[in-house]
Amino acid sequence: MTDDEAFAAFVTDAEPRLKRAFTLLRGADVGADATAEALAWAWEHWAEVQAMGNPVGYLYRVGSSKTRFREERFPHAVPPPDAPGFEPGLVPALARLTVRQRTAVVLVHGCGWTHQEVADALELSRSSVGTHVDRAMAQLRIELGVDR
Amino acid sequence: MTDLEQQIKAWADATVDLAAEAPGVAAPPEPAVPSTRARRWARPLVVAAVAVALVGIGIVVVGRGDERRVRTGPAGPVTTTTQHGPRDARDIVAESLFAGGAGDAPIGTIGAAFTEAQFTELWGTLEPSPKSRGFGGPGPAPDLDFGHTVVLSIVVGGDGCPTEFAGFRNTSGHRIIEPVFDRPDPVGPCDREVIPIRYLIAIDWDTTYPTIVVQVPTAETGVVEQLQLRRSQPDPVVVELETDIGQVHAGDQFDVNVAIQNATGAPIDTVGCGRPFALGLRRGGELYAAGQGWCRQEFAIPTGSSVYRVTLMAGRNGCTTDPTAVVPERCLDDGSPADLEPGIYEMVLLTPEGFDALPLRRMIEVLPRDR
Repeated sequence: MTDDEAFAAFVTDAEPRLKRAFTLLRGADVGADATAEALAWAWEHWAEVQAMGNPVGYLYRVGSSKTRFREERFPHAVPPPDAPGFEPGLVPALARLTVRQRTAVVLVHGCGWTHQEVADALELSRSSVGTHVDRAMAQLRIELGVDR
Repeated sequence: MTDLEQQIKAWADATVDLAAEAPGVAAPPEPAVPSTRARRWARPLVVAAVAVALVGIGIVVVGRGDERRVRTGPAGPVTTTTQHGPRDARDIVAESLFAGGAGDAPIGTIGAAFTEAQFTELWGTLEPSPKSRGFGGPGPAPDLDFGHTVVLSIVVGGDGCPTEFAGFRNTSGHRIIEPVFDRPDPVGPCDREVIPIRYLIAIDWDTTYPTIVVQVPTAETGVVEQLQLRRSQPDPVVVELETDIGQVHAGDQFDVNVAIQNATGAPIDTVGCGRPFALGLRRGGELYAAGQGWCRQEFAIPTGSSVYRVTLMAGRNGCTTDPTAVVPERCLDDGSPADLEPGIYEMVLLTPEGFDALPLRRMIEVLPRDR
């Protein structure tokens, strides 16, 4: 596989993951820009990216850094009340979490990232990510009145 | 998966679907098949070579006075396949406003006008090319709506035969694009020397992502020049301080990248000493920075993207031996300056004469010395 083919394969996998994460945490507009910035950086530093153990996590940091000055306030968009499968009080409850807790829980349970991937993305230890997720889930359960 | 985890997943799915459907928000693009990457582009400079990439681009030629204007539009049926598949870039609506002489600008020069004032200034610099056929003078500047338009100025290598801008195609990634040119009316062999030709291309922002990277080849085989266009970024010269470091200890040294986007279309001539850029830390009205030399050296900040690595020390750069001076200005017993006091400091970019752009404010926390 050539470098170009490898990069294309990488984009196929990484772009939807980055876009989902950024869209949920930063909104559609900033999310699109952050994804573009991250992939543009990856394209320019492809040799470095290839050597990374978790390139998506690192690119999450790149995209976040490149768009750090953009205005944002969670939530960015609220699905209609009749959207299936979730309690309407979930979004306000997510909004009341700390940024770290919300980011960790959304990446883990909203995007399917592993704790290690989130740790790489947020420059935290894996145990810290676990703590943030556990506390966030506990807080959400209290606010939503749900059992485990 | 618990009920709450399922709820979070369902909310995430619904939010992503909502974002994809929202007006003005691009749906997730399909994966692109990259053709080449920067610095390894070995394509010949002759414009005929890129005509192959035009498959799938609908071209409407619009007559206007003595100008020939080309507008790219939605693609018609694709009758031939190409592995470069410009699926995203071919949807960009762009219009060639001018093709002609490039003056002293080398092949690969790239710039952009985001405002009417910048465009007027740019248009005033245009000139026909006496060495090439088919290129006229600039004529009157067209009226453009800069709320929806950015004008790209590029200098590419031509071989003396008339060519027409025919749209954009993707390179690697969805938002990295390059212009393609067509030779609609072959006039026989075009074996003259390669000459620089300037094109002005109006891009409809509403048909692009808000951030795109345009690249053009330089005269050096395999090397491209890039320029990032951001709809929300009208400043032709943008400087950013790039670092992931948010905390340092007093006495630490660390590197910061000073990243510059020069979209003026010409190098910026500056005067400094030693290096074009330096950094300092400011807090409470005090600036802590290395002393500047007294020499006057000329530095040209090139067009497009450039990055300068600058080393910054979280410390004082001098002290006094005057025993009556107050700490922390007074030297310590060993003659060294006292540490910076812990706290939040602003990173200050010290720019050379002739460079006016300033970065957004960046703060950094200085912690007590790590002993």
